[in-house]
Amino acid sequence: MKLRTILLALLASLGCVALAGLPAAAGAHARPSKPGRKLRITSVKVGSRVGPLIVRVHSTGTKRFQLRVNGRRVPDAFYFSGAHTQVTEPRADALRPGTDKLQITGPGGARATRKVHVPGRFLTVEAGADLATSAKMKTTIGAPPAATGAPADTRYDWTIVSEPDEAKATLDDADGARPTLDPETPGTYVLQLEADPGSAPPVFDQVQVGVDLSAPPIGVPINTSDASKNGAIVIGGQVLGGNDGGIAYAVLQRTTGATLASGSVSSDTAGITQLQRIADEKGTTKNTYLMIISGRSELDEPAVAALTKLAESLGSGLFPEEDFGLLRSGVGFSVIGIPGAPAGAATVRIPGREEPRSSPAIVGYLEQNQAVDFSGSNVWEYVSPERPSFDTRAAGSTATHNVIKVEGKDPFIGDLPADVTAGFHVVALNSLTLDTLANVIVPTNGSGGNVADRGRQEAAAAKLFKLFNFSGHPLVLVQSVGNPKGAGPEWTKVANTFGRLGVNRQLVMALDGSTGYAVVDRVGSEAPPAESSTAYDRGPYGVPKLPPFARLVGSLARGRAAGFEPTVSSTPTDENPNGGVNLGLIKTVYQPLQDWPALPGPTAESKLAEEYICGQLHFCGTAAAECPTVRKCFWMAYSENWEHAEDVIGRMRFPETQTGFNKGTFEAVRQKLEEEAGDVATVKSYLATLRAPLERQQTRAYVDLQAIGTEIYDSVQRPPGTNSKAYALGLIGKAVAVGAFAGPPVSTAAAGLSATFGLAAYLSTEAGQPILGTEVKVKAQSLATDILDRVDAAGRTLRSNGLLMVSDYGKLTTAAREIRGNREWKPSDDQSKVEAQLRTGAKQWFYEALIPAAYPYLIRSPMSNARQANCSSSTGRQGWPNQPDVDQMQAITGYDNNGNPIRSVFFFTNGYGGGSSPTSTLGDKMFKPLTEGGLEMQKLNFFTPRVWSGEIFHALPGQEKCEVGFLPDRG
Amino acid sequence: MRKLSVALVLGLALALALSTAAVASAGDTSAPPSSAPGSLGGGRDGYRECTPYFSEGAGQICTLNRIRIGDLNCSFSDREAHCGGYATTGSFPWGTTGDAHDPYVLVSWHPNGSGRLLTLTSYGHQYDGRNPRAKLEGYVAGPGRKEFDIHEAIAGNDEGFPNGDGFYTPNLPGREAGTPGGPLYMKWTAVGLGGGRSEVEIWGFLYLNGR
Repeated sequence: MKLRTILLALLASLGCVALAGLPAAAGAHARPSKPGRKLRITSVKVGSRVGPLIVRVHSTGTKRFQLRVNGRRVPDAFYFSGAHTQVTEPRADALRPGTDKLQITGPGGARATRKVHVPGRFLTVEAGADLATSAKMKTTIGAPPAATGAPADTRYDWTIVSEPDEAKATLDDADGARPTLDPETPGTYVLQLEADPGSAPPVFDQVQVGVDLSAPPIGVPINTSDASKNGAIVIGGQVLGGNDGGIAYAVLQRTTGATLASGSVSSDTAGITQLQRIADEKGTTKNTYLMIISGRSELDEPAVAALTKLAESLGSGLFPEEDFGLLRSGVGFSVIGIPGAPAGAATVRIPGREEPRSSPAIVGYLEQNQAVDFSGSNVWEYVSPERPSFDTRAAGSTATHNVIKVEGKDPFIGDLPADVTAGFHVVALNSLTLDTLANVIVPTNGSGGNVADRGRQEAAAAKLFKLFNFSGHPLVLVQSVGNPKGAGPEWTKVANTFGRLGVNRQLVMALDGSTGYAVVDRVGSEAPPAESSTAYDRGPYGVPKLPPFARLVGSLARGRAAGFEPTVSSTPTDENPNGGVNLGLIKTVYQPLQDWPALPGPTAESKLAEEYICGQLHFCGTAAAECPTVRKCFWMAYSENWEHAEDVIGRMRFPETQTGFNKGTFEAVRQKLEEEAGDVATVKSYLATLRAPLERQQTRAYVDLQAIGTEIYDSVQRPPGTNSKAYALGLIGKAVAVGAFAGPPVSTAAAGLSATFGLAAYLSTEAGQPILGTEVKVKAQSLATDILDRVDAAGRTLRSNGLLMVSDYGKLTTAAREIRGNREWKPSDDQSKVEAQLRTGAKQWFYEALIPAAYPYLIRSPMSNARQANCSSSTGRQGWPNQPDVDQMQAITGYDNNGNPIRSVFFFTNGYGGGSSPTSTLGDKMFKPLTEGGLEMQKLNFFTPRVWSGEIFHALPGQEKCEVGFLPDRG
Repeated sequence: MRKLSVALVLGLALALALSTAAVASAGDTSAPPSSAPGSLGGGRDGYRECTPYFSEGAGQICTLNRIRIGDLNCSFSDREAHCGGYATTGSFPWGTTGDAHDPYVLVSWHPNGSGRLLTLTSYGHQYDGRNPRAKLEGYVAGPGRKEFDIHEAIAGNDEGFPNGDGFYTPNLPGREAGTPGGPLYMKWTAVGLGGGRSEVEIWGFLYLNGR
């Protein structure tokens, strides 16, 4: 989370300090639920020297309370020493321009709220994003003045206001905009910036830096059920019990990685009950521990019941029905979870029954740089390094011949039989092992006319159902070949079968002989599938620019169910023939480890030469106590200026007075290290370039969001619902889509960002990092918070990816080479185009999240226009007489017996009746082409159950209230 | 006379209190999803509400909001029965009609082994044997049991019953009635004096067929 501050002086000049000292009666209200327990916010103050947010609270009958800022819980609980207490909250990060809501809650339901208004123009001082770093790693803090808008002659004064007990830390350049913190002790540091712009009184902000023990970026190898150790849990080569045939377990502290407990229990209810006790105890301090369990034995039914409950308490969520049977059959299992965490936090592996049986072991690394806890400190998190790429319509594909490629597998070939003109090429893989389960063509059209096609499509639905239902939730890749065309009502069965994958069914129904379709998904995954289509809505704005083929290229990663799922994907265009995602970057970050080559020259001499060079860098060497060798400094001192370091190494001359190495060895070592330092500088600079437009875009996104939010709010004349959910592809996903036709280098930023996001953020939950690229449930009013979280996630992910790359020789040299020489990696020189792309993506995202909050009902009806609905009603009212054309969509929802498409209208409202419809202005802004000032949102992807929380209502003309009389009546 | 009246009133109150005691076993641990009469109750615990069109969205599990059918002219302690009443709450179309009225629901059961096969069929505003709208059918182990194992639940769609999404309960090990993966929760309550009349409430979570 970021920390922001208010310009105290401006507030004072505007009389807003009292926003501040407002009496409780002005805007505050207490709602105690129990007599004798009352909480009252007596005043709120922001932007003072004491802290960014100060809340004075009065209590009767309660001793402790919790503070929320705009719904976000402040991590600490606060205690009263008397009836009054004052909370000085340095992490008031959730403060936003506009109306901010503070809420305090205490035991027994005591509660009080206060709203304060913070004008957006006051949020201009920036101490920078909160950081996570490692002990003995120098870290630059603060934000560049250009990014904050601070006047050029601003004076800065930084101080450490909070640090761990007995901490040793120094702050260099404390009077500059970006000082350097040098923490020796792990813990949390809070630094305060006092900025004096000269023309106004000083302003303040704070930033928090979480410091952990240093650890190699790649982390520690983990195998949760090592077959060579009789099923024991092995972490970093250490066998943690469990090799006696029972259920193995280990409990780790998430911030330190220390093993607190390990061993094994019997594979029955009694044994699992023991583990449940451990999980319950550790779960009382939520999200503090990692708990790992694994077993290879058959379980009886009570044991299965106990195990699934245990896994749920570790954050697994309810197991799929199939898994209950698999556990009884003895396929084995592994869970890496977090006691007390919500569903979605645990990684679970339960192999299917397909032969050859796959292992129940979760294998990969525990890494410290991928996730952070609520306080911003890095925590250990399981990461799988496997990131195979895929292409559903690889080179060599034609109208009758298709090639699907999955990295590490031989190409899958699909040829249409002689009498077939169109169909689906389907590849089904074991999602745990990527073993091939099927590679088939499913015919849909061919010789024999419409009747024959209807028969083919009846058979196709049955065949697809079988392919999607292999045991163990297969990974399926589907590509249309030729031009499939619905021939009759049987096509609905085909679309229903695709529904098993959670697809946008309208894209399958749209296959009318003129469009194509591709999908990649793990069956049963909670994340939406990767989809591509050349179908579009035939609304008033004509034909949009389309990709040449519906085709998906992207990358797979292991999800929480341990099976491979698509994480990032895109559809290649003429401008971006390899797609909008930089798959090379993904591949580089997680390519196999490669040792550093020996430095040139005799070993003893080169070692001494390296030591000398290291000593010439002020942060390197045992004396500096930061990092012992130049190569280790690449990641241990990642925050150093490596361009400068490269320059320093390049200018070094052979030290005539030194002994132990000759000039030739020195020069060879120096050149090698200079090259590598240059590579580090190149990688860091590249990642910073990727992030820069996103950060700059952040402030503008606030403005856009507020304008869009106000517009939608005004259109309904009432507050949006608080329980609305929205599907969001996410800022980056949208930006990739928007930039698909831009072509490199403009598209490179989003391509790179999406690649880095896809690496780790995908797996995360609220217990770890925020989710991106997967289904996200967003309350409309928390979108602003979401944006900040995403930018922060970008920062963390880019840093952790940078650490991974500079800590391994192969990754470092590959990345540097690609950055320097590969056109697809080259960042755009025109950052304004990149920012425009991101801004459009952000706006699309806002609309997609906010419209369903204001208009919660997506309605489908077999009419050509919603205004024509004849909903015979006792009140004589029609259904939706005011629904603008632009807020409707016509889409194929079936085919008649002769293969003619049947269309229905789709529209969104906030109920039933004339007052339920949105304005045409909203629709214009969303659906108009970009060239005409709109956002060019695709209706076929917008008017979907996925955007509307999975729900669609069917209105039946001619029926009383069109059979949707249970919707709110809007007259 | 006055004393007699007081005694009579107290006696009636006691009788009423006894007569409304739940027939189902105690331990009503699973709170029913609330659903105001004539409206959709919405999803619960992160699951969407069951509807005839549930399969158009993603997911397999949906919530069946509390269906309450009052004034049934039968008692679940009867060995078998056919009786009907109006559902005053519940998910569409089992417990609410498309135009937001109370549907007529026919409840019937007959012995099956040691338990009963129970069927609830929902209609429109009134009984219309040719046009059912929705069905819940499954097994109950006995009159005192709250677990209703659903073999087939159908929500009729715009093509007419039995077209529409079909559901079941998987009855997974360790899953209580009324919770995801478990049977539906069923609660019978005797109503009024003299026995023979009752109301039933049913709620829980269903799994979509074929997913």
